[in-house]
Amino acid sequence: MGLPPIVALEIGTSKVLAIVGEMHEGGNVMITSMGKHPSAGVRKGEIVDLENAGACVRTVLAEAEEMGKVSIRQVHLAISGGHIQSLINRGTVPVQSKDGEITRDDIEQVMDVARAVNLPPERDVMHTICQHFCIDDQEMVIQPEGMEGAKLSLDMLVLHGVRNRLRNTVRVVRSVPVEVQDVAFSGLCSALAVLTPEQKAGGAIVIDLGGGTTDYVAYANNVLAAAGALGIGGDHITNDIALAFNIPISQAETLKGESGSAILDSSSTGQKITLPPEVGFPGRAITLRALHTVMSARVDEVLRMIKKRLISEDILHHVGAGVVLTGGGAHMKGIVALTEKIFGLPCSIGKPRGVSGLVTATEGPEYATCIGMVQYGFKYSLGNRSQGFGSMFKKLFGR
Amino acid sequence: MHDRKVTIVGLGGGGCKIVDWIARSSPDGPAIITISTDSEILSSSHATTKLQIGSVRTTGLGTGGDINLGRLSAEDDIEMISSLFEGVDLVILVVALGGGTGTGGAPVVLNAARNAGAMTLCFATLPFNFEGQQKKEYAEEGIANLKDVSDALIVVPNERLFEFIGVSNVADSFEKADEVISDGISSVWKLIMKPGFISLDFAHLQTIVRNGGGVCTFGYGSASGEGRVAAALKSLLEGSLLEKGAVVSEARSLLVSIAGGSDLTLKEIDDVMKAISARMHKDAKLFMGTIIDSGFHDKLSITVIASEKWSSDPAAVTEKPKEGETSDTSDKSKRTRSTRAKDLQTKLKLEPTGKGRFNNVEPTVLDGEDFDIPTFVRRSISIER
Repeated sequence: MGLPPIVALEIGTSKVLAIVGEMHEGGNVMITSMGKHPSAGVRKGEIVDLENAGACVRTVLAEAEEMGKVSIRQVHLAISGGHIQSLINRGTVPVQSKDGEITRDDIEQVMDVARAVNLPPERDVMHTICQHFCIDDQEMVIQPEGMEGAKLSLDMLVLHGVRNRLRNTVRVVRSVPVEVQDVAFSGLCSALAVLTPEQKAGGAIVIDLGGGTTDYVAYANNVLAAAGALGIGGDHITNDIALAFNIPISQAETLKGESGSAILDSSSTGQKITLPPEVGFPGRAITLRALHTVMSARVDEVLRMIKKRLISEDILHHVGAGVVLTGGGAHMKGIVALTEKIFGLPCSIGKPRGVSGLVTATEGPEYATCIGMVQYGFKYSLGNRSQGFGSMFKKLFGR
Repeated sequence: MHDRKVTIVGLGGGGCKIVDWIARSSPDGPAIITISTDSEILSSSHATTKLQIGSVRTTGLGTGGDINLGRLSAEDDIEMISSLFEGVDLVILVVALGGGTGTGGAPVVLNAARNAGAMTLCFATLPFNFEGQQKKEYAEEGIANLKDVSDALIVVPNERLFEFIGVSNVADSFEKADEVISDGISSVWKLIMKPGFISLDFAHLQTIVRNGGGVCTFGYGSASGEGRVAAALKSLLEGSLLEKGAVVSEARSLLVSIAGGSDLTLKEIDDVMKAISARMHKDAKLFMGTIIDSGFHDKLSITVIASEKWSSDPAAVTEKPKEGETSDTSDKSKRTRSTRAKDLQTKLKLEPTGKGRFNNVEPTVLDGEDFDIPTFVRRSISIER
């Protein structure tokens, strides 16, 4: 076998997950083992306790090693956090040749110019992704090589985050100690795992409903049009429930999982749930409708926030194929209906595509990020990196 | 109260059609004004005053559903609009949300009315579901904008009018929907402005609206001839406007207006009120009034304004707890009083800065809002605890 297996690692707010994938003949990715453990030391997708987070990673990697009978020395790391944002930078260069034919050199040059973006000093580039070329006044050119023009422009989507926070996540992994081979924005990984080529062409939004963050990625006309993350996630829903009914976080978490819903419907009218007493908690009953009101208000708000951002960037009307939900939050009852209502687009739960192997890992929307990271690893990290999502990892974190 | 000057304004295509009904059905009624960007609509209107706005921008062709264009059109002609409200005490604005002129222009018109010193009452209809998601969302955003600028906002989802419409053709359907709403508006206007032997005023209406977090809905039923009370009650309480009476039983407060001709009897009023009281929550507030209208031969109509728990827009479920709300239940029996007091206490418990597990974490602040504070607290949605 040519390629070594890839280990994808995600240090999430609610869980730490490692997935090992092998590339099989015909380009199929086979998931051979995984490790999973509830997270500690992570808030809103960012590290707040290096030691605890490191211990979790150690446990998870040991579990994956045990299951797959492999030794893990290096990982591909998926990173999220509310600080991650995107912008579009246009670079322009004059065409060099006398007859105006655009050559490979011109393209390389315009890419360099478009990648050179001025960010605030505390921020670093995570990814630069080519969108469209423009020759003189002709917009939306996909492959300019061999065409004629006087000046060549390129729109580059630049994903960036706060340097220290990005590095802290890498630090956790290095403390294990394990080498980090590459990093990628987790929202991008999720999209890579679940979207079909047709969906990318027709325009689609992937929303990853995580424990601490909500990542979003939008494709329009086959290119990545926008990406970002909000520091709001499932933890906020749980916290809202705990505050609303004055119950412990653990009770709120159970309530959310077992009886929760993102929409209000008539079926909940008049129903009550009894919370059994436990130490320091006398037990009580709450109405299902009140629970759903608290949850719906929060989820509605987050989704509308994303919608607002996509409208302000003029992307939403290029999205025809709909919204795909991933992450643990995609299991929430009523979430598809609520998303359809808010975006006015068809919505579905994302399932990782083009992978085989471990059934648990290849079925659930909460595994999309790691599986996407494995696919990303095979596609871009090993050798072939001239096109695609140019990660700045080496420059950023190289020792 | 007779001297009060009322003006009913229809804004945009939908609003104009509704007030047109009022203009035709009560020719001795208040001043009716239609405002539109579409010259076609105005030319067929029966209103006493017609005003075309935004003619520079739209060349008299309407906005084509563009809300921004609607707003700009109203702002362009703000001086003309303001001049309509001079010396007016109450402006009733009727608008069909979802369209361009209505949704975009309504806040501008209401502001102009307020600045002219008038009280504002806004009747807003929401589009039928079949009119599309986009229109519906525009309408929901429209409600949010109207809440701030109207003293009282009454929302009527067209969807609930299906029952009155029956299986007639499309043109008739819309016409029938307009008729029901215009009847409702007329009765509210008459309730406030015409003398009855039990009268209500605008302050009552405001109380109801405030209890509902600024949004109310209305129910309507009418019948004539033998057994008119039973028939009117049936269409009111079993109709979809009040969701088969569910709105009545869930409402925090209700305003009931009974209109009839000189043949209206006390017994009839008593029957109506008994039926409604039996349905409503025992702690809800109830106001009632009657209207004697010589135009009502043999006919009886019941209008209910209810502060309902609004579900289509969570932001609208806001319930601003008012001080003094507890004190005016003095006449109730001790039993109901104690349950009510308990109820209020749990509902009023506010934790404005409570962030629970996010207390010592760097806050998620977006657009100046701290998202770590629960959404239901920031949107002041009342939670039954």
